[in-house]
Amino acid sequence: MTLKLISKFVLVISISLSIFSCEKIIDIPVDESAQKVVIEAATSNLLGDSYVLLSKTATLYGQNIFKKVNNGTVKITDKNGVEVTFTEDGTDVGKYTHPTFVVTPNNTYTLQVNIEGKDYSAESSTQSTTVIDSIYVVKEPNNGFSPGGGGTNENDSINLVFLAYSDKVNEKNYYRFNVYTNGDRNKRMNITDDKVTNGQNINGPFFDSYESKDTVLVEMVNMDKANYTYFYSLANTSNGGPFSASPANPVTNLDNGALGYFGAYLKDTVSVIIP
Amino acid sequence: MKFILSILLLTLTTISFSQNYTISGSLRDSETGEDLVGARVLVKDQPGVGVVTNVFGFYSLTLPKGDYTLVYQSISFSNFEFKVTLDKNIEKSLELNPESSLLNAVEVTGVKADENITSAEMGVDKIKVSDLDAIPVLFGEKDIMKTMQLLPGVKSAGEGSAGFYVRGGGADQNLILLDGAPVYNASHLLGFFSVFNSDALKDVKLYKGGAPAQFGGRLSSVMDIQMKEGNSKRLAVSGGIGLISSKLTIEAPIVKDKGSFIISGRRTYADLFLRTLKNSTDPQKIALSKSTLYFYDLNLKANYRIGKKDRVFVSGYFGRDKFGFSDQFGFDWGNITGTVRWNHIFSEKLFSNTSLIFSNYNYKINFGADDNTFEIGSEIQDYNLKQDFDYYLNAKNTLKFGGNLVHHTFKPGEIETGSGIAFVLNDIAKRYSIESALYLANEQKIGKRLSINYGLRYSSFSQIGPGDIYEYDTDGNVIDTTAYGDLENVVTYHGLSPRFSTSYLLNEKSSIKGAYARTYQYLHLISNSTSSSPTDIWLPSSNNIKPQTSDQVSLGYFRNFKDNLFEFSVETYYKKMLNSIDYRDGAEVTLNPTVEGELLYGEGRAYGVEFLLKKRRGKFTGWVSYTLSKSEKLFDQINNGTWFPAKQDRVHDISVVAMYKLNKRLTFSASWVYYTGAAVSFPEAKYEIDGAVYNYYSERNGYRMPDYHRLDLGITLKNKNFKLVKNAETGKEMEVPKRFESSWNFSVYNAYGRENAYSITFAENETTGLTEATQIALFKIIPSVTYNFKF
Repeated sequence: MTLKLISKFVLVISISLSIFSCEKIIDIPVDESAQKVVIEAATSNLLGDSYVLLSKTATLYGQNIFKKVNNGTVKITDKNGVEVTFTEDGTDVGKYTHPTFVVTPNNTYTLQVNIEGKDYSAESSTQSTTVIDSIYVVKEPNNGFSPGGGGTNENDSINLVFLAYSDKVNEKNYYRFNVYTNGDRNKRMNITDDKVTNGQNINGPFFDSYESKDTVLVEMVNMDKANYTYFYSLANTSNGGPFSASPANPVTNLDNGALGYFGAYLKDTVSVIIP
Repeated sequence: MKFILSILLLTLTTISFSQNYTISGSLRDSETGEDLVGARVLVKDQPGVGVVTNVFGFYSLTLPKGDYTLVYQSISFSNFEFKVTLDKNIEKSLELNPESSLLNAVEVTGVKADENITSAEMGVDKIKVSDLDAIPVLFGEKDIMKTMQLLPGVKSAGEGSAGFYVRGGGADQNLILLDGAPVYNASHLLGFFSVFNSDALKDVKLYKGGAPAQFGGRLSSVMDIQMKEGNSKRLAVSGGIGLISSKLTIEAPIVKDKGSFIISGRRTYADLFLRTLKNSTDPQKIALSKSTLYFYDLNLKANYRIGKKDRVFVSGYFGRDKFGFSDQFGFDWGNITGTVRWNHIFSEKLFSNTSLIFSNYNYKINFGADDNTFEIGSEIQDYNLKQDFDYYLNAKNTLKFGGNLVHHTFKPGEIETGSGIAFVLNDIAKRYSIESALYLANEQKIGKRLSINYGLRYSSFSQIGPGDIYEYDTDGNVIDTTAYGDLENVVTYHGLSPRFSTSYLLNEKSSIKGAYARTYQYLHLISNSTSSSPTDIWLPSSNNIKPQTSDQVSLGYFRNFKDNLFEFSVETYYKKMLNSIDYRDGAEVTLNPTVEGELLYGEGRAYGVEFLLKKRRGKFTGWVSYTLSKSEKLFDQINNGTWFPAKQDRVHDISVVAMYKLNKRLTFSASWVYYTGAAVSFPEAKYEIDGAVYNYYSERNGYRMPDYHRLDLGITLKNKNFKLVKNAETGKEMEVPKRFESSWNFSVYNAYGRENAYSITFAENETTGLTEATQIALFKIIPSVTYNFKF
């Protein structure tokens, strides 16, 4: 919630500054010699939804070609010592999966990866699953500055999708909401914790508007603090503009200098069709 | 017993033979009645014997019984000599004539402007407000803070920021006092102007080398600003009309020579230009045309003398910035300060000042309209009681002592939502603290060459309830919460700050100076941006945040040439700071009730050498200043625990200011600044997460922004301020001064239009998909015209 407001604020300041200022492309030489390992490990309670992607960084000014890593070893162990090895399925180089692995509540998972002789590991834990209570659509007049309104939207009214869920008061919860409109993933990062809303029944809209007949699928992801910190700092990864924090790498739960994250998620999905 | 008695008798008789008497009083400007701060009262033919008036114009000089010729002097005033027979305590207050005054009956002796050599103060910059007239600044506004940044050791925090860095310290390490009241955010309009309307100011002193013991609470500097009292002789009005802003000052006596007041206001109207965008087709520009962008300042002060020994002052400052985008978004912030002061002269040697001070800084951001509104506010408020004594023990010793008690209230985030918003957000809890201090200092002259200024300050800071206090583990997770009641003590910090500075006269023209100071800072500015912004939050020290400390040593050599025509100085310093604060990578700083868990603690160090060469008189005046310095930080969890450059590290910093007075009416001025770009983090590689590309940074602040340089030019044209009148007797035409004076000021900011980088961002080009660096520069050439008047 707060993140969106702050980004709106930043947008407004940037617009005003752009009236008076000048922009130009400049040449900044940097030391491009470093190459790091990138591990994207996303596992969930839905069957077939867990994967680990291994790749490498590309040079800053070079092409966006991120070398995939094959022949790495990927293992996940839960708190009971049950170990599972993920393997490349052959077609997708650098993508490691497992046919039956699912994440369960109140568990702790340890990821171990070996790439070219170096070891990397991380831990992620789960609590109970907070599910979506309901999803509904509200039609509101387009008043220029409401979520999703104004600017390019010229309709008289906008459709907002509201989500309702109940936060558990005895847990520190961290959530992310992935929104798919007609199957396409919405790029906006919706991420929140329960610091100011602990134990409450949350009822709020997504800051986008939707067209009539759209199918909107919302995936609610329960994650741990380390993943929340990772995605929060990733979303804030400023590219160094004014009003942004000093640029830094997002806080990862992986060790040994790897970039990326390891998450064990509990998901719940629900969808609605805009009338 | 008999032996002691006879010793006592002997001592008493000796004392009675060398009886001392005191001459004391106040010095004022004969034209306006303003107190003369820092004026000197010297004994002719006795070099090194004398005193300096305090900030209220009061002096007290104790000498052995005898005949003396005293010389009263102040820069740009004519000397006044006074022969006196000191055989009892004498009260002598007088008014000095400004050099330019036509009332000069006495000879205009070359004022010995060698104060920079003889004063034991070092690391001090003084600005005469009248000097600001000629220096060209952005939009033609005379600005104290911008001019300070032209002096060595003081660096601008960058374009678009009124914050400044002194000797490698952060922007929150400067204590800015207006008539004794702290000003928490001294910048208007995101830093393009400072909150100080120079028409209302009299004297500004910046201590950068460790302030004397009566100041404390910020590590890097103290900017002590005195407002004018107001003309106590006649009504005086002055003002200016410019392209972006206008101002008006009215001063007048309440009772002639006894009391006066001054009202000074200023307002910008930059949003008038935005109205012109109304007819645009771009929806963004239309929204801008409905926006507001202005600020205003109001300075008020009144003072009154009650009898010979008492004087009361009331002063206030109100300033607000308003920024609104279309009618859907508003952002406003401002400071309010109020001071009530009472001067009392207890005896010819003891001067007292009691102050009651109020200071408030707050900002509000609001979104939405009608019922769907959301407002976030943050505030800091101080109530302060201060007592200061100046005790002029004798001609060689001036003691200063006193105390200070402050109650701070912090509101980090207060949230109000309109009825249309469904969810509830809790306010961030308020925090309270009490800060207090006691100090004792002495300025002592030893022999003819040595002066020392030494003192001790004891300060204490207590975090008090009511409130919930959190404890964190090393990863920033809350592990414990304790509730405290009203005024219950949570934690108390205290410490002793010794202050010492000395000056040794090598000869009449040169001196060496040294200083040492230890300071504590109990309030910290938490900022989430690379440049300072009004949304930065002030946090008090607490059970989690320890006070910052600094120890600074400095050494300097001062020399004047050609009868004080040229002033030269070189100063070097080393500063060590402990308990410095920085943020974790990815810290959540906004609206976070557990923001203390996002902080990391480490140390810092800064050192450098400053050069200044100044030409003080003649048609051509000005100065060149150069600073070579380094400022770095060390934190276990940042940059792998190795030293990294602080954001404010600036290797080279050069300022050249020149003013050429062609004739009585026309003055040309130019200023050129150059500095190394700020230390900044640039990416070195990129990678893919969740289908999007992100930049990889290998170290903190390993790169530099491009160097900054800029030339400003200005011309001041004074209109004829006299009329020709035929003398009835001689038939000759004479010049009779007119009361109404006016002048035009034309200035150009950034005369050669250099696009200085304000920010550099790395992002993918939408067409090629390759990463490129985009630079935003704020200002190209900005001309401006101002009309100023005075009567």
